[in-house]
Amino acid sequence: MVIKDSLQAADATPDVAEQKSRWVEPADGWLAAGVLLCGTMLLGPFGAIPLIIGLVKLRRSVKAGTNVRPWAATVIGTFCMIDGMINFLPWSMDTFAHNTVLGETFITGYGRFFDGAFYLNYNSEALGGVANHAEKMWQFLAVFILMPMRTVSAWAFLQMKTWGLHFMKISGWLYLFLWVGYTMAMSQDFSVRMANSELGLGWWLFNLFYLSPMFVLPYLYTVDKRQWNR
Amino acid sequence: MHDIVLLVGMVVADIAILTVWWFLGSRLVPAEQAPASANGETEKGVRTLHKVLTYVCFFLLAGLIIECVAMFPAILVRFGWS
Repeated sequence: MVIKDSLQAADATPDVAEQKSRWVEPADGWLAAGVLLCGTMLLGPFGAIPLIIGLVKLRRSVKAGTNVRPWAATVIGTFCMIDGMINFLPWSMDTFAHNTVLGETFITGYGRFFDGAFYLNYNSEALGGVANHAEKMWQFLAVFILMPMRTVSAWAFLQMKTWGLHFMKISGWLYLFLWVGYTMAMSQDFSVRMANSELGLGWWLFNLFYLSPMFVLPYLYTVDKRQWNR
Repeated sequence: MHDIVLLVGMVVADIAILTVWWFLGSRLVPAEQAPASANGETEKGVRTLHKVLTYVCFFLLAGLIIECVAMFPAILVRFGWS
């Protein structure tokens, strides 16, 4: 990595280095701010505004023909990044901040709406937070491996980096693995999880929005890879 | 006899699963060895696929944004602070 960067630095003239923009698209700053705020879930209402502004600006750029990144890559990258963030940050709140008022309010509120495991016996086990062992196992896999990997790879993908496309594929397969396992765990524990929530059956509808690998992997394997060259 | 049926069924299921993964693996070729068609975004079929996937992902993205916007306020309104 050091060698690669050194070679690039040696090859680049000062003028070229100055012209290189921070983002692939000028509106990517709006996009990043929106995804970050929405991804916290707690600040979601504030995140929707910059996110929509970013998407509208990017769409206008596509229509005007001034875009660098294909519109499909923008939509898919944004979808994957926000998906990664809203799984990463709330689950990490349950992992690290389960004793805080904010954390407990949000997590147990989610549990009461959708999944009883997130409020029944909450904070009663050694690791704190959710007490269900299967859920805790998925949570650790998600917080330490998959979701941060998914989030950074989606941003690198949006920035047209070669490794972004590569990591999107890897995290797509890992996500598929997690989705199937998580769905099985939820189904097996239906009586103590979804049945103990206000909108338990709504989880099935809710979960459809996390089917990202099924729709993203076909795109990643058919897209023109040469465009991801930064 | 009962066991044999189950064991044969298991073998058939295992072979079917391996065949599906063989098929998928053989279609998903690494970049440096990809056939020309795998890079052809200009191909009509691929273009249609991308269009459909873009619409689907946009719909899912909209759903996630609504979820992000509504979840915490809904929790506070329904259950209050814990």
